[in-house]
Amino acid sequence: MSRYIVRRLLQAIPLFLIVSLIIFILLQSAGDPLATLGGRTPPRAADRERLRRQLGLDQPILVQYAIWLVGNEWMFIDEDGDGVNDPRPQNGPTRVRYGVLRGDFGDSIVTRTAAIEIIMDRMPNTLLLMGASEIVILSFALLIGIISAVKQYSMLDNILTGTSFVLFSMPVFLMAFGLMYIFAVKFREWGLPYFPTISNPAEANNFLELLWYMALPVATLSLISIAAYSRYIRSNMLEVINSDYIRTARSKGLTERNILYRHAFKNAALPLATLIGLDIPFFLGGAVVTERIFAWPGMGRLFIDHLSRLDYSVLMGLLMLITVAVVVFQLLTDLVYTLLDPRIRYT
Amino acid sequence: MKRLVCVLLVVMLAVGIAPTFAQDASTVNIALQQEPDTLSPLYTAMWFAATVQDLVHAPLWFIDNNLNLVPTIASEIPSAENGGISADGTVITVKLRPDAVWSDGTPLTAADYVFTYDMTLAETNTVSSRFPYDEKVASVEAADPQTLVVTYNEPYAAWYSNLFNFVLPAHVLQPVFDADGTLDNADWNRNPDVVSGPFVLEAWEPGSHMSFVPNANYYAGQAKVAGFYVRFVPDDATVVSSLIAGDSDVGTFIAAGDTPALTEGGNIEVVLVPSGYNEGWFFNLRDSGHPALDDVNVRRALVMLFNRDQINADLNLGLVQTGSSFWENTPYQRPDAAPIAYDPAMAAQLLDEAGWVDSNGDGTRDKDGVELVLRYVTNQRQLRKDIQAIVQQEFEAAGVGVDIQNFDSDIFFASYGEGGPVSIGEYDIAEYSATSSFPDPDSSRFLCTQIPTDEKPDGENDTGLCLPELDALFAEQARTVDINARIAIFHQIDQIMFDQVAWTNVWYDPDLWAINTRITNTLVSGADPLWNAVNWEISS
Repeated sequence: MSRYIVRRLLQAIPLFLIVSLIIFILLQSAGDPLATLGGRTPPRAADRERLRRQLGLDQPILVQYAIWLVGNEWMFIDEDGDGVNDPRPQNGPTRVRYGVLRGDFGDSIVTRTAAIEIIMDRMPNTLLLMGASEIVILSFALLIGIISAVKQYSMLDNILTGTSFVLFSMPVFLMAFGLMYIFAVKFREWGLPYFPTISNPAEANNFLELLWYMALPVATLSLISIAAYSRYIRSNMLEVINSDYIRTARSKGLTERNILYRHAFKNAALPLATLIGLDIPFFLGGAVVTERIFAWPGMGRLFIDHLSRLDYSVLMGLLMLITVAVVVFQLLTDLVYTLLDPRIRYT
Repeated sequence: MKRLVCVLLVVMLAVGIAPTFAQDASTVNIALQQEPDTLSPLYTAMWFAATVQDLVHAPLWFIDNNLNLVPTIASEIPSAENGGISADGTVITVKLRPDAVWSDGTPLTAADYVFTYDMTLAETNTVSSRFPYDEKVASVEAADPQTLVVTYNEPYAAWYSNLFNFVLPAHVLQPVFDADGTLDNADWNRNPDVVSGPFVLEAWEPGSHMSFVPNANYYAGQAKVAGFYVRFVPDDATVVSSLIAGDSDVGTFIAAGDTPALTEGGNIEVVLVPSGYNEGWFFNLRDSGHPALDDVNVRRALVMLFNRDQINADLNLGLVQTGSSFWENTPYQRPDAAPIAYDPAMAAQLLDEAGWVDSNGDGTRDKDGVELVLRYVTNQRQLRKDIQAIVQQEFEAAGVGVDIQNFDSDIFFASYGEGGPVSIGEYDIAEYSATSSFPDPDSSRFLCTQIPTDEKPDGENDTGLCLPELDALFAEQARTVDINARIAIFHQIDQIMFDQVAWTNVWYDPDLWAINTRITNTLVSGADPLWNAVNWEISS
């Protein structure tokens, strides 16, 4: 097993390099980060040219990638714009970079602060939102999926199925604004307990307030996903509860609860592990639309904000973090499989 | 029944424990669509950053809501009469308030301005702009602690609009620069603990909010509110919801279409803030444009076919009016200016006279075998798309074909060098909002030297209008420090522009701010939006 893990991790190294190079080239080709500098009018040509040189954006793309990867200690750079390359930079705009391989993701072009610090500032908020949403999604999806399977074609199943399809087909923004309009705007107007329009965890003074701030974004993320997950669980459960070994268990006189939760659900949950394993890495990417609408300060918003300025240090950091998480969680999912299903063995 | 009771209990519990989210009534809550990138004015070109910086960084003078100069750190506005402007117009002498101090109590002197000038030009600082210091200014000197002398290379009419809109605390940042060789990574950039403005930063939670409290050492009056709380709310619809719900007191960049919902409750006012912008039509007079556009009467006829008043009444809900000048609602607009009136009959006559008639009976006017079909381009903004559709219908009825094209903003506004469709001239009519060097009226947008070409890939003159007398007038006004003489020159410029119809005003395009009526004395300026923040009050 340990050899298998080491082999998988070693295989991931060239994957990271190839992915990082592709993303880097794509981002560099997406436009000019100095095109507007976030202003209402474009900067002067003289300022753009100077900043391009000072920020190293005038270097060939592969040189920029090499700096991002391994740093710039090996370089001679024309720091003062006199046309003569200066020795290894010590400070100033082209200060020493150590490269991603040594934990230096570079500085944001937007804020002039370390990209990794910007990302880490937002990560807890995203994990909080996405983690809470996943818990809500799984809890309700399991409940609804199992009930729908057990009570197949009943009135309750039909209602749950119909509701699932309605929710699943609803765009996220519609769900978000609908919830905001009813529970934040109208409830306040009607004198009922209301939720805030701006869901800001940093403003919460205690755990209860935090839950209150999280309620609408979590509900937005959950309602649509519960529908999808519950349908998935329902179909898995139906497949399992109609199988021979469940029939055998029934004929042996086991209680229905025992059959459902000890025998049927355990096997029906196996594919769910794959689904969750695939979902978790993307938690790090945040929920772009939901975070934007509720002004939730998470990674999704960070990505969009910095994409609009083509701040490649932050964007590369975010995307590589997700890449690493995908690889790691794929591996973890495979390992969890061996725990859930003793028939599976990796060598 | 048991379940119902349980549900009711849960609901009652929720009602009982629900937080109320009461805002701090003594604080002004602002919702901004973008988070400032920094609080150091050296490193930003963002409007949102500049707006917030009005709270913490005092300029020499603010530019108020009527575009008047209001002395702040300067004790008076330099003029020829008070000796602040030299006879040849190249030397500006600014007297500083003797009582001006930083928020830590350290005196604010002319030496701080010399330091700010040095930092702006320092090669190791990646400042967002060095203008005007690298191009216009010869030197900045401190004659004494309260006297700042700025010498320009030549008379520079726009000196008042961009001379030291901020000042850096030398006693805080000089040691940082000495140690690091740059201010790029100074903590002060994101946590300016020593400032010159009426408020000081209390906290900045990235992605979430900033809070400001009054600066006890502010020398030009004490703030009347307990503070400003600025949230970053990227979605326009959420900004509107938060204003209606009362979570925010102030919102910026409000769409005209949202004003009825905002104002119907009676507790929110929508304020029009002049920004220098005017929505306009740019006709392509270059070789790449339709040959019909070479004739000024055809251009005038096209404007006569365009019912701008109706569009402003219907789509802009009457909040804005059709303008007639690139300098609408400023002293630089020619006197008694009036837009070209909507007159389809006169338009048809002008087109007929110009030889554009429907000779082949296909419903579209033509001349010498060329059909009068115009490429009408803009970005993806829905309002502009709606206008395109209306214009297409109106023009079709007059025998003018319209080929509508839309581009994403990054492509639409891209430069000639980047292949932007407007810059490279792949259009006949382009619609977008443009401004001068607001609050200064100077503009390079209509100069012969600014026509985008391979040699001038960053040229700004999209229309291709090239009139030597216009260039001469623009050059003359840029050197004319006397304000009245400059206004007179601009009236000539504006008249030529109006006669040429290379650009036409679709509507005067102020920024729309929504402000809760509990906040009073809010005078918002397009140049320095929060210039008056120290005097904002909260009504009981």
